[in-house]
Amino acid sequence: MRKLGDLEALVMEQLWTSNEPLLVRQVLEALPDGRHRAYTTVMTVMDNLFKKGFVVRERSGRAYVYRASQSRAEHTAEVMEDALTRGGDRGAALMHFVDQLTPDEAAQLRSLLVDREPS
Amino acid sequence: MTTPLALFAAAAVMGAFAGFPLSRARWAGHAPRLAVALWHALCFGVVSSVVLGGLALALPVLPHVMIGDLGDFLARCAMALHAEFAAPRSALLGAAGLMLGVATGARLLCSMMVGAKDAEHARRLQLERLALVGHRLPGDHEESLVLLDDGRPAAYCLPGGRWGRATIVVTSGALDLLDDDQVRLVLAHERAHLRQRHHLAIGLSAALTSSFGWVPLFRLASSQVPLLLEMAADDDAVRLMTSDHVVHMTARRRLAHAVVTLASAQTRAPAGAFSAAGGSAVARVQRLSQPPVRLGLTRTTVLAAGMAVTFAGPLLVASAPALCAAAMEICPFTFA
Repeated sequence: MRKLGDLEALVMEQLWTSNEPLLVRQVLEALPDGRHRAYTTVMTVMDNLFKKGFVVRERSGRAYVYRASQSRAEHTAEVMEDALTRGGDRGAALMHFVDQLTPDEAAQLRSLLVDREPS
Repeated sequence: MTTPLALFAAAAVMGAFAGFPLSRARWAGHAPRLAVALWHALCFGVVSSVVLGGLALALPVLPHVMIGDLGDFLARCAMALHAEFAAPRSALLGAAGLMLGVATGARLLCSMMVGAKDAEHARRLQLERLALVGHRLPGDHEESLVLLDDGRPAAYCLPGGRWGRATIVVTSGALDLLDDDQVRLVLAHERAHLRQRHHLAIGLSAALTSSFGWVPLFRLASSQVPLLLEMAADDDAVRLMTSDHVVHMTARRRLAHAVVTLASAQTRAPAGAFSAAGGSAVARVQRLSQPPVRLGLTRTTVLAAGMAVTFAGPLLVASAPALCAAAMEICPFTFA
């Protein structure tokens, strides 16, 4: 299993596991193969994450310190919320395997299932 | 005057009435893809009738302004067309026709573009976050498969585009509820959506409804087309599984079970937007519980012919006078 969007995900991983805000240098050192990565690459990645709103940063001396704006669980929940609320719109941004049911439909489905047992 | 009148009348009749029999047709569930094609042919027929009708009104007025200078050749054709396109008509009517044709086309194009942009934006936000928190599962298909650590059972797909590859998302909650075969069926169902580009078909009906929601045909199409596409994807998933080692009916039943499992696990308080899209799960389960019905050759032929007529009819009607004119000696066109 590998994470998507490789470097961004790796950087976020560091920020999520760290208890305090991190400098770009600290993130670089903490990365699995940080030694082989360019400082500027990591800096660019963190800048992108900031622009997307996934991290917040503040100045500390001459450099920025970064921390995640939301926990991993919050991100996951937000992806799901977004996906679920888009089930109803017809814009076809994404397609669900099944739509959410109203209680009426759920009851109807259950009765269908009872009719068909034993299967 | 006959041509525009005929076209407008055709548009009115199709737009007002054609949707009702089709939305009740029992055969639609037996041949969902054909039904979707027919819905789209009807919608296209209505739009093209209005656009072409408007242009046909405008045509006799236009040549004076626009092609007055194109020389003897075109002028003679234009005269022939004038004669064919009937009696002298006011420039006002022509301008109104032109406006109608252009406005209808522009309105539709606009809302298609807006819809596509919104969808693209939503997908980009999804993919950006998925890149951070999703686990990419290895797979041997062109679509990426992403596992999301969330207890709520769900499976959905994001069509690919500028922002990334087509992606299927499953939650850990969904995997907990389904057995291996069901997982395969669910993934095959989503893959069918992506490969057959169902989002384009849904986007088209959505654009029609958002621009001309007062036309019954368009409203009915946008409520029927998504359900029919779900059925088409179900069929594909079952077919893929059947080719392995599972009997057709068994695969259908397993898929039905997966629909029931995921749908009932997802039940929540109805929140406005959802109730509109509902009902598809019940219809799908009913359909999957019965053996598939094949549409007879006669019926398929009749439907295909009807589709061709609604699709190409308006264009033929609109161009009939021009074709007649071209066939006349006065016009130096030849169909050699």
